[in-house]
Amino acid sequence: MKAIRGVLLTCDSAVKQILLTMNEKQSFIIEDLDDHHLVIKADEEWRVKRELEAELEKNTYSLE
Amino acid sequence: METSSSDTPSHLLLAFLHSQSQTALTRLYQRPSACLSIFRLLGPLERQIVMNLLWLESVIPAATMAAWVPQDSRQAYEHSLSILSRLHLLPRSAAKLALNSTLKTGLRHAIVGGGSSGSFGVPANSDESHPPPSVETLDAYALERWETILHYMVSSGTGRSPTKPSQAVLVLLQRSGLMASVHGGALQITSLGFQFLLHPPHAQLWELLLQYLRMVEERQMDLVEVLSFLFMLSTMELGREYSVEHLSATQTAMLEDLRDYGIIWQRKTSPTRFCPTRLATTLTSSSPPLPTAAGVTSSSQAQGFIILETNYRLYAYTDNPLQTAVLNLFVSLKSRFPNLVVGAITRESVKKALANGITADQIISYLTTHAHPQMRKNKPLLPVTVQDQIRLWELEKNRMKSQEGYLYTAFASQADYEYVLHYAKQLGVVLWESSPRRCFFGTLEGHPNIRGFIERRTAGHA
Amino acid sequence: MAPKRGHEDGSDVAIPFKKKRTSDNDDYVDVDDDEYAESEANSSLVPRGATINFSALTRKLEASRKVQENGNDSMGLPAHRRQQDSLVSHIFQDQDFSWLHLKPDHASRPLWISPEDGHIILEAFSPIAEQAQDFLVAISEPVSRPAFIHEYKLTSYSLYAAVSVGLQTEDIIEVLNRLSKVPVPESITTFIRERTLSYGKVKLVLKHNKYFVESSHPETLQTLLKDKVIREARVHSQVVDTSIKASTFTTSRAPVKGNLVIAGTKEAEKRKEDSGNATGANGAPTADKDLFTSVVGVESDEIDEDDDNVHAFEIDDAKIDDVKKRCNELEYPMLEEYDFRNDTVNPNLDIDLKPSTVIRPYQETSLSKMFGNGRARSGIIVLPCGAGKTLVGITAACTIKKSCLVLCTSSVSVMQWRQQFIQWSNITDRQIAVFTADQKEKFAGDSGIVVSTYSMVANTHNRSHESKKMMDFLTSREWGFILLDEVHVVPAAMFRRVVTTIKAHSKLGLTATLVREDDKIADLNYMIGPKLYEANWMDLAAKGHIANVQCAEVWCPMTPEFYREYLREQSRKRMLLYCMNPKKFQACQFLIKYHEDRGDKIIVFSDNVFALEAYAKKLGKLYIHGGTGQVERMRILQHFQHSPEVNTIFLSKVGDTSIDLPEATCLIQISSHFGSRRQEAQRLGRILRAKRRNDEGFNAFFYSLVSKDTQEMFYSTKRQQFLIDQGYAFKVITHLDGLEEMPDLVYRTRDEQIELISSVLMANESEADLGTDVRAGEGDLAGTITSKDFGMPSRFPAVQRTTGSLSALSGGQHMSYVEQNKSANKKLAREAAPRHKLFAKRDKDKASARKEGRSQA
Repeated sequence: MKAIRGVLLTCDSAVKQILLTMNEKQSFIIEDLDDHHLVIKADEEWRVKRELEAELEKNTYSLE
Repeated sequence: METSSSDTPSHLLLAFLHSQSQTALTRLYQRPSACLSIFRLLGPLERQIVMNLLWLESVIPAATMAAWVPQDSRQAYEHSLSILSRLHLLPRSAAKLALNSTLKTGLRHAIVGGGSSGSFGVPANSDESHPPPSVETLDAYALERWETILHYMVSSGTGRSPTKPSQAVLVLLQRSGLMASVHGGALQITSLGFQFLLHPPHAQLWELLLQYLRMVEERQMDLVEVLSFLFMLSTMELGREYSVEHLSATQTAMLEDLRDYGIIWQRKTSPTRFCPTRLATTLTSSSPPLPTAAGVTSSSQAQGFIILETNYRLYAYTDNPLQTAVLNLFVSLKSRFPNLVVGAITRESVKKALANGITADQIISYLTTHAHPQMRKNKPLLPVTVQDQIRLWELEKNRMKSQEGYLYTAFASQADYEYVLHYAKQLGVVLWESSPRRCFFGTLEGHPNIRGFIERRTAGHA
Repeated sequence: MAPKRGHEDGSDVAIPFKKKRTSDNDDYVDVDDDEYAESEANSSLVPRGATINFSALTRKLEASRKVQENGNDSMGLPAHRRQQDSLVSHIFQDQDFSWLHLKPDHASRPLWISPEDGHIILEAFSPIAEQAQDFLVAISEPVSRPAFIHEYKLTSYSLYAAVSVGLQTEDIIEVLNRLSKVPVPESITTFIRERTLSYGKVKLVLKHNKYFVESSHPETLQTLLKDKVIREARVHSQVVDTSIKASTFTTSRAPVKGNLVIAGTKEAEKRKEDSGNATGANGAPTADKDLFTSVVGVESDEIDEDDDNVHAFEIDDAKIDDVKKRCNELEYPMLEEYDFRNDTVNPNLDIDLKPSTVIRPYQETSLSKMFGNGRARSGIIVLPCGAGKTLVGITAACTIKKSCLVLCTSSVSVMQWRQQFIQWSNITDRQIAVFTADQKEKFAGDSGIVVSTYSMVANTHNRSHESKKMMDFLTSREWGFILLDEVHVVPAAMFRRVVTTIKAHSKLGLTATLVREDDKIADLNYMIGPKLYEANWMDLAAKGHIANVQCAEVWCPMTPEFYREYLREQSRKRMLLYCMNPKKFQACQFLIKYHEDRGDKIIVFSDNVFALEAYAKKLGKLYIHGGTGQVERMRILQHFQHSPEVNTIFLSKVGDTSIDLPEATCLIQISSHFGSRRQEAQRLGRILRAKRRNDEGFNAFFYSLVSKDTQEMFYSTKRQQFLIDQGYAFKVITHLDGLEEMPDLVYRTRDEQIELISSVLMANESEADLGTDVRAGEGDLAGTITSKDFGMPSRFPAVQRTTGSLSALSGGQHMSYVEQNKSANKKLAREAAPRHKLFAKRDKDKASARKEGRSQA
């Protein structure tokens, strides 16, 4: 038995695909659980959130 | 107010009263003004039941009353009975119905007059040199005090320095969780506080008063005295001066606090008399608690001042700085004319509001409550596309949830896995599990227990 | 006389102001004029911008404070509010105009004006909003016009346009002031004066085939002649005394509208009725009033009457463009007006609208701007697609009654214009000729109409002998009128060539969308003229002139496989991945089914040809793109129009304009041209003229299918901005109820989806390009989305694409895939192909017209 400390991410499948792509550049995923769940390294959480945000932001058009 | 089928009574205060002892409530019901006030706070159906029972001298079988209730309203009726019994106005689940006799007497007094308990306050003798203040003076005073509190909240953290309310008010704001001191620094508005700002004034006032009531005990005040004073105020006449002479010590002590909230007005030079403001006299009524005109409210509440267009632009007919500051919480404001504020609902402005803890529903409900009469031509009131978009922005924020904890994996056998999982489930700490993969994810908090469990088990096996 | 009536109309605006609290609408303020007036004296105590009710309260408070001491340590409400105000004023930065003073009766006035940038905010629910809108659209640019509050902006161009339709500086300021809740700020009056005083002073007039710069202010002409460019362009036609040469101009009488009647207008009808009993002297038409209400009474009697004489000097026609540009730079933009009624040199064209032709009120309004003073003003009219721009152009031609040249973007449009002229007016086949790559006709007689394309006229190289002869015909003549279609897509250089080679007395540009940040506006302004009119979309829809449209954006989640590839793909194929998203296929299939069941006729648009074919074949629908042969096209369109079996067709960019399908009631976009707001508006225009638009409760539908979490989301929002500002609302649909339960749902299984992605991945990168099927034919405007010989035999087959190409490129090894994707077009081809009657007739007519032309020549 192993207990691995990490952060469980629950997300939709598109976000998961983005995370998988990000992981290819700089690995942070400990375990890919299923379509909507991943476990990542706890100390990467903030970076991952920030980069995900930036990625999603690319697809939104702002009036100003 | 509609009685909902959920378990919430029609007014915030009723929920608070539910938690009080029967003794305390019975003491309260000794005052006719309290009886009348509570009656006014009840939902329509509860009021109906009370009125039916009020003039009966004897008990009636519960079945007799129930016979009047159509089948499809049965649930609402049961709900009302439950509210009344929790207020100890009716006996709990009895076969016979009768109104609490103390309340019955009090409410009868309140309605037909009589009795001389002074529970509706004792008017002060007229004083030729000091005529009572005009209603305008009282309104202006109430508005100023009330806006000072809200403005202090909304401006915290913006780098501006608004007028500070009194220390007592600050304590109240902090204790109610509307504001918090970060690292011992100045008070900052909390997400609860942001939500509070979007509530209607009547609800805001009661939210603060409830907190006041919760703090009564630690200040060693008599709750019944406090409540009955609030109820007394709510039955007083606006523009009339009342004497302090007949007030209890607790109630006299309350005068200062209530002055700070703008609920009562007192002349410095004559502390023996006081005037309730509109905030006080409307406490248990459905009239707007704040005066007419550019105020936070009434005129705007009755008629609305916000126009929201399908192109996300928002036009608010207001010159009120507080209203403007509140709009600024979720609207990107662009320009301002003497009686108009122009802005737009943008992704950024809504994201900012969401980050402050304000929900999409609260934004939509604020916009709906304050919609300009022109908007009433629309069905639905607000452009659906804008409402949807605000909700979608909220969903966007919640696309990824993260929870720290431990992934338990590589179990030696399926039995091992199930054994540990079972234990973890009993603790209620499992966030994710997969039997085929033979692993699960548990919360951080659950880990010491699970580790202990496994260690014990391993030790036991060894 | 018309101007006098105009003045009377002004009083219409003033009336509401005389009543106090006319309606229940002004609830946001409770005006008490008298009290307010008093309180203004001590206005320092009135919080800035307090509503009146409140200021009354304040005043009472002050009064009461004087008599009694303040009991509490309160600072007083007004002071308190001021203090609070300082906490919010910073939000607005330089856009805080709360210091402006509301007029006492502001509630009955409908607008605010920003002193900073000339932004105007209008209450569209005001009882006088309609007049105010007419006025504002004449002097400013509409920014947004949704349901309740409209925004406009004063710009140099808009004021130029205002002056050119005859508004006077002081009248503009006065009417603005009448409508405004706050006094018109000093900065704005200054701006209006600066921009308008020199505007409208100078006119460019073509007389006897010579161009003259004309003005009623001789000193203005002298100012202009101090400029080197203008001086050198001057032609000294007369013998002049050199000592006073600058001050000798030719002099003539100034123009007035008189009794000009615009063809097809109410006035024209009235005239006909009255002709029996009314005499010319007192028969000043009452309908004039209608014509001028739009100018809100500022067409007053002062116009041009301060100086009855006008002065002019001649300029070299080769330097026209330079002079116009220079005048613009000198802030003396030249108005172009044509006094066609007094033009005895150019022969009249006997043309009129057919008696059965009816023009709509807004078409009439737009024309009244053009012919307001009895002359034809040059400029641009902006009407939504489907609102009848063509008829406006034809009516203008019927009013001027001189030879007319119509220029459009493609030979398809040429044929449509010609056909419309014949449909709406009494012009005979011999009087109207077309000049395209295929046909070079001249009209019979000494006046007539020629319809051609910009490219045919502007391109000088590689001209055939026939074309040269035709060009000589066009350039040697003096045209009374030149109609310029779709002006927003024509490159400036091409315009310049057209404008300098063709001599025309007046020009009218037509367009649906002068998308604002288009810097072409500047060019159009001096090459054609100012914008004369811009219609309000919502207003036209409310009145039933164009269809009501429900717009929706359907979010289609990317399947994990597609999204995986999308994220890794850096090339243009990204676009192919979001177009071909299986969820989008499904949404498309679902919506087609849903709307076919409702009885709708559906057009599905795809700019991407690869996707177009894949979708159409998978869903078993007919499709047309640039590579579709002529016969097949006609057959498909005819089936769509007449067969109850064919309710859906797929169109590529070729269908953005130029195909008029009033049967269509539902549009679905699966791929579009990035963030083009114009294309979005143009596509919407495809259903605005839906035949069924006046059916009770009829709605047309406009869907954009968008793959979630891709660039398409960004473009989609951007594309909608223009329409949103017109008042359209796009509902976001995140879930289509019942989609999962649909029988025969395409790409339901993961295996099918994977097959699809492999076909996309195998496709060439170039398949991702948009509009590859559309290539300009000879004479068509390159790069415009209206190009390609649509509706005419294609002499230059565009991209060669066989219907089998998809299966060859993609999962061809899967038999089921190939089977399913058999083109519905092919099946249709086996059926008989009747010639469209329009074209059959056209062939016959053409033959006889040619014979006629030859005998004339």
